[in-house]
Parts: sequence; C-alpha cells; structure tokens
Amino acid sequence: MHPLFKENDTSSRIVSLVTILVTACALFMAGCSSGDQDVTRFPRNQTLYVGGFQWGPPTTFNPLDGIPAWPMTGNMNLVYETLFGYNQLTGQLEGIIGKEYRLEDTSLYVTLNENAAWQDGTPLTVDDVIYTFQIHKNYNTHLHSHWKYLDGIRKTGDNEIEFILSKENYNRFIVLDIISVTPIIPKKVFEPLETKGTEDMSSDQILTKIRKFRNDSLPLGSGPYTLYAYSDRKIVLKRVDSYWGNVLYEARQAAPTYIIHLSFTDNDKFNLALQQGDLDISQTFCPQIWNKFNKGVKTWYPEQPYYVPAIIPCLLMGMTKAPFDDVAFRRACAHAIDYEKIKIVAMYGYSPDLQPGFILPFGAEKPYYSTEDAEKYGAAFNTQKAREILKEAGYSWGEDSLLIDPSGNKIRTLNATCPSGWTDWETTVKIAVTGLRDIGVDVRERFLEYPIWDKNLKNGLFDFTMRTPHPELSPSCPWIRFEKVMSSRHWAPVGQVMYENEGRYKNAAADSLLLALPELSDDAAIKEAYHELNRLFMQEMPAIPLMYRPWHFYQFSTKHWENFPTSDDPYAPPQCLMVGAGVKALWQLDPQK
Amino acid sequence: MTLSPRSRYMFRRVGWYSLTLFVALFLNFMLPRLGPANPIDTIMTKLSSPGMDSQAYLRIYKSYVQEFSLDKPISMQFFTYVGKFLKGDLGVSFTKYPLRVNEIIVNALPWTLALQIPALLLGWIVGNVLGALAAYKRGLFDKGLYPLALFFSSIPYFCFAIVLVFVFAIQLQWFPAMGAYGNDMLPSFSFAFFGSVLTHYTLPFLSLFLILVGGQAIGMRSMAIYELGTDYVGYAKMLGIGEGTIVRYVFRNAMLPQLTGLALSLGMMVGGALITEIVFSYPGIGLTLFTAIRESDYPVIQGCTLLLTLCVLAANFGIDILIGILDPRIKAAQEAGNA
Repeated sequence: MHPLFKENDTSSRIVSLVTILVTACALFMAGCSSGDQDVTRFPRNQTLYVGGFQWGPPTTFNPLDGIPAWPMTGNMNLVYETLFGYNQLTGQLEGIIGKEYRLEDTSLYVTLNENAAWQDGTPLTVDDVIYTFQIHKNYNTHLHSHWKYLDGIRKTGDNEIEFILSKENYNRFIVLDIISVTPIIPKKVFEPLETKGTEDMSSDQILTKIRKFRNDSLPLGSGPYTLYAYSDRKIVLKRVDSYWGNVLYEARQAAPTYIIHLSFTDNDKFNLALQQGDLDISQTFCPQIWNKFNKGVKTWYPEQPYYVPAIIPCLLMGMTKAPFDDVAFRRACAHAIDYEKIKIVAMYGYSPDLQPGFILPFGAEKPYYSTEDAEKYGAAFNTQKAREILKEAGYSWGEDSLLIDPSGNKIRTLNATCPSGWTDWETTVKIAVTGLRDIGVDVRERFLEYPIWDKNLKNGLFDFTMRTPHPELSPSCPWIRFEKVMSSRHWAPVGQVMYENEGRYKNAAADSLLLALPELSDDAAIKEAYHELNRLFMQEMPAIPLMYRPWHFYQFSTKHWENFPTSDDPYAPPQCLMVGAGVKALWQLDPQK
Repeated sequence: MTLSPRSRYMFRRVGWYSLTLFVALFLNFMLPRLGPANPIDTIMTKLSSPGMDSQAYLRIYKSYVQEFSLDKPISMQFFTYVGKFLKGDLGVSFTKYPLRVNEIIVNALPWTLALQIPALLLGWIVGNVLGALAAYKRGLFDKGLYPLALFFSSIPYFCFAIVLVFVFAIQLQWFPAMGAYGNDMLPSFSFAFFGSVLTHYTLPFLSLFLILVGGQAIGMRSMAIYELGTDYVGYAKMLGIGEGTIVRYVFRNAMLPQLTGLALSLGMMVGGALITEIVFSYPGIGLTLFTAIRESDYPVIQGCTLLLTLCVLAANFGIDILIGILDPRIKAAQEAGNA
C-alpha cells in the first residue's frame, strides 16, 4: 500500500485537525475580553442595539485619548457625561451634570446639579470638573485648544464654577461648545496616573503615559451606563441602576438594561441589520429609506426630507490660484450647479430645497437668516445667468466651447475630488461637474482614497473638492461654520496644513466680522452681524453650498422597541438617544410587546 | 565528506527558501510604504473637536510621528523591523493603537483556520470520492454530477458567497448573514454559544466547501477516466484481478496531482480567506487584512502578508520535499545530480 494511505496516517491527520480546532477555540476564547461577567447572552427585550458610531475594533476607553472607542467620545452621554447637552431642535443647552449657566461679560458661571455622583456613589464635585478642564490645559490633549478661549477656571461656591473667558480670544459661542462637549472625568481615577512616578517626565511623556491607560474594566463614569464587555465587533454597556440622574426622570431607570454597539464593514451591512431588526438605531446612510418603512424601519419624518437637516456640505475651491481668485468665476460656478438634481439623485430627497447662503433657514438658526438678502444676493441654478456673469467679467469661449479667461488664456483642466466609496458624494460631484462643463469649465471628477483626499485637503492641494465645514451642530453655529470657510486667522500657504478654511480664502472684512460677532451680546446686533456675514458669503462665494444634510442619520427599527422620538412626538431631539440632549429618550423607550 | 543526493537536494531547497523569505521580508516592509497615504493622516482624520485648529493639529501630528518612529530614516526602520521580527514581535498597530499586531493576528487566525481547514479537507475528500465514483460508474450518476460539479467549479467563489447570503440569509432568513456568532452573546463555554457559532459558520463554510467539491470532482473524474483507459488497467482486467482492487489502483494513481493541489491550497488558505471573510464579515485574517489596507495600518498589513508568505513558502517547501521523496522521476534526477 502507498505510504500516504496507511490507516494510521489518516487517523493521525484527524487527530492533528482536532488539535488545531481545539487550539483555535482556546485561542479565540482567550482573545475575547471577559471580565467577571456572569451574563453572556443578552435578552432581546432588554437590549438596545445601536450602530454607526464605531467602525473598527475598540482600542481604548480612555476619554483622554484622542480617539477613544464609543461611547467615550465627546458628548455621548452614556458613561461619561458633559455639563450640558445640546438640543439640536431648540439650539438650547439642557442641564446634565450642570444645572444652569449664566454668561456675564467675561465669565461663564455654571452651577452643578447637587445630586450628581459617580457610579460608585461618591459625589461628583466642583473639584472633578475643575480637574477635568485643568488636565486639558496642562497636556496636549485633543481638547487642549479649548484653552485658547479660556483664561482660567475657578470655584466660586460649593456648587458653582466660573469659567473666565479669554480676553485675547473672547468668544461667547465657543465656551458654550466647550461645556457641552467635554466629558467630566473623576479626579480620583486620573490624578494618580498623572502624578505617580512622573517627576522627570515632560508633559508630552506624561500624556503618553496617561493615554496608555485603556480604562476597559469597569470605567468609573457618572452616566447611566458602564462598559460591560467588548470584542472587535461589539461594545456592550450595562445599565447602572443607581444612576444619580434617575432623579431627573421621576426616579425611573433608563429602559434598556444593555446597550450594544455593533460594527460592520460597510453601510450595506448596517442597513441589512436594521431591516432585519438586528439593529435598533443606525447612524449610517441608507438609500431609499422609504422602501424600508414597511419593514418597521422609521426616521424622524414620515415623508421627505425624512431627517432633520443640519449641516451643509460644500464645494470648496483652491482660492490661491486662478481661476478661483476671480470672484466672478466663483459666482458663475455657483449658478452652474443643479442643486435640485443633487437633492433628488444623490441625496434621495433627504434634504429640503437649498436656499442661498450659509445659514440654515430653519430651526435654531432661522432668526439669523434673511430671505430678502437671499433673493438679492444668492445664487441659484441658472446656466444662462452663469454665462452672463462670465461674459460681463470678460471671459469668452473658444471653438471647443471651453472657457477662455479675460487675458485670453485657456483655463486649465480642473479636478473635482471627494473620497472614493462615498457614493452619495461621488454622485453629487458628478452632477456638479456636469453643470460646470455646461458653462465651459473643463473639469473632471476624481475620487481619492480617504487619507489621501484628507491630506490634499488640509494642504490645500485641490481645485474643487467636496467637504462639510463643521459637520455637526453646536452652540457656536452658525458662527463657526463661517469661521471654517472664511477666517484667515491661521492662514498657511498651500503645502502647509490648515485645519480650517482649506480653500485659503482671505478677506479682511470677513475676518473682522468673524472677530466681532462672538463679542456681541445684543440679539439685534447679532442678527444684523449674521445678515452682513451671510451677504458677504453670498457675494464672495468662498465655498459653494450643495445641500443640507442631517447631523445624524437617525433611523430606527420598531421591531423590538417602540416610542422612539419622531417629528410626531418630538420629546427628544433626533440625536440617536445618546448624543447631547438626545440621551433623555432612553427613559421613554418601551420594549415591543 | 560528501552529502547524499537527497540531503544535497534538501540543503539547496532550504537555501533558496531562506533567500526568498528575506526578499519577502524586504518587500513586505517596503511595499506598504510606497503608497501615498500616511497612517498618521488616517489617525488624524478621526480626531476632531470644535476648537481644534491648525496649530493644535500640528502639535498632535508631531507627537504621533515620534511615537511611531516615523521620523527615523527608513533603513533604520527596516532593521528595527527585522530585529523585532526575529524575536517574534510584529510591532504595534497604527490605527488600533495601542493593540499589538501579534494580539490582532492571534484573535483573527483561529477563525480563519477553523473555517478554511475543514472546508478544504472535507471538500477535497468528498470531491475526490465523488469524482472517482463518477468516472467509474458513469451512467446516470455521472450525468447528474458532472454538470453540477462543472457549475460549482466555474462560478467565482465570491459570487457564490453573495448568492448564498441573498438566498439563505436575506430572503429565506435561515442563516445569519454576517459575523461569527450572535450579536446577543459573549463567547462562553455553553451550548447556546456553540450553536450560534455553528449557524454563523454554515454559509461561509458551504461557500468554500461546495466550490472545492466541484473543482476536485471535475479534476478527479478526468484523471480517473484517463487512468481507466491505460494499459495497466486493461492488463489487470485481463489477468482477472478483482474490480475493487483495480479501482484502488486507479484511485491511487489519479490522486498524486490532486494531493499537490491540496497542499498548495492549504498554503494559500490565509489569502484565500479574504473575500469569503469580507462577504460574511467573518472576523478572520482576511477581514483584518482588508481593514488594515483601507486604513494604511502598515504593521498589521505586514503582519498579515508575512503570515501569508510564510504559509505559502511552507506549503511549497513541503511539496518540494514530498515530491522529492515520492516522485520516482525526481528521485532519479537527484541521483544523477541534476536537481
């Protein structure tokens, strides 16, 4: 018999196969985090599944790391809480750890809720709050730049703190951002990391040491949930039944005992899970959402635009080079783009009709919007008008019907970019390019890998590129949105990083308006200043707004839970039951019978 | 001292393979670095806060460059890399910082092995038996099996995987569409957990298994038909040797190329896992590599491709040695000093 076909040979193969499988199982069990959990299966009617906030494996749960895993980031008030939660519907800050605030000249006074406590029952004090802000001052953390707007922070009473606003960078808007996005951390947990055995270290070294703390076994927060378990594709939070904030909700508990964040590789998988009821809330782009309504998937509005519009993706232009340095060219471009088609084709109707300007003509920003100005100065889709503007400015068209600039030179071939794989953006860019080609601008679309696109963006290496300046809502809106496209405060030449105003727009009038606005306290004056700023934006076109987009794609499945906030019952903002003031919806959910 | 032809053959092989490994290490180090994206750019894209400005951005950027030693000359980075590799240390992931690459691979590898090894071995065995039977029996059995096997062997395996997901997971909802175990569970030694692992295992397993069965059955069938027509079979029949014995001879002879194929596919296993794992979101090496490439996470890409290289090298080496021992033609060449 052939040596390979001996019977014992076969059996030894089976033995080795079994060994491999057993080892594999053992390795895998060891690889999964398992603390002292006694529950390994989560009852569906007590568990809320969410998705779309964390895309890769969690690495650290330390809120002082620049990129901690969900929900330790910014204003997700589940484990760590902020002083106040921003409500995107009203534009107001609602109390969480903070009870109330008042802004007086150069000081912001915050009173804490006297009940506020850490999850171990010890009180959350003014000291903890001051410690939290100090640590961002002392080290180069991701929130360090907040201190540009603060001169100091001090205790002014048992339960009161004073934030002293910077004289040099006085900004009433940003301080409200600051108190709504900084998670308060317990001094007793973080101070020892910072002080023990760090005498000879530089502040950067100490920060690196602090960052190494993964904080992944029972983090001590002040919020209604704490970390229970995690793996590469899943983060499990468990309710803290003794949560101090239950007093804010008639002493009731938040409805879900567990909140599980799932991560998948792409939007399609999230959408499939949502449709099958495996996911209760998803913050991802979902094409043709109306087709999923009959499967129990719902959004904020039952009809168009389905979501609450909040942010404004734009076409940025590399302003340092011709032809973009000519305002007539920019204005003509703004007239050449079919915004209605973008809304219908690229956005599936998830946007109200675009209005001219850079202020949202609805919601909290509506008082600052001027319809008359928009009619007078705004750009709308009108190819004829675009050609007229160009002709008036001295442009002409060659035999190939491509644009020739006033000095008689053919305009070079331009690129329009966006990150590849962002299909809705790719479609938008294609529609914009078609419009621009119609008026004779030789422009081609190019879709780049995200990190490359991002690098080119910050270094100013683009002609047209799609980008959302300030892709969130916060108390400093709409000021900060203008700041992000019009301010030359941190101006750097092309090839050097600019974190804002990547198009490198420069205008003294815009700069002084942007500086003056945050100092105003009179409502009428603020309103007038915004009108002026928006007029300037429409006249100068430092960026071309393309559509309104929701801040969060808030869509949910009613297969296992009901009573989600919607436009019919807007008891909480559409902030996915965890961001800012959205967290209060957790107390109103009911498991589906 | 003169070496026996066989030892000489072995030594020469070992030499060539070591050289290949070194070149692979070098390419492995260089290739990801030739791309235009910088991993720290990737990390920085995730950082944002309302007050963040250019200066803050640059400060944080610099601190990451130092932490990952990307400010050192590339030659120095290479030798550090080789030194660490020899100690079995694959470094720290960029985007999953502070996770170590070793940890990431150890978490992912078992899933890949547990999916691929049974699929490959069972698919190979079942495919060969079916192929041999079809060749021997012909008739109805062959007429039924042959087109089916042809279908499975020619459909690209990712297409087939997507079809499986669409039919059995989305439409019929018999099996889950993705993941390795239920979303509602944590790993534990319980029937519920292993049951869940099994239901999640079924579709990805079938997607590999059926295709392999198809391919192997086609190969084995034609080899066996060829063998059945050879002189020695006719001679054996003439001698009146029992049918069972003849089938055994035929089977054994048709087997040799199939075996080489098996060894090769075991070697390519880690790479082959890629698309199956992406389609089913199965948390193995394939998905890990895919994610790492998207994020320019050099150390993880290097770790995965190195594993792939090692497997392919080991499989090839194994086949070389095996063939050296088994194949009489190679043996003859060794003795003549040509191989």
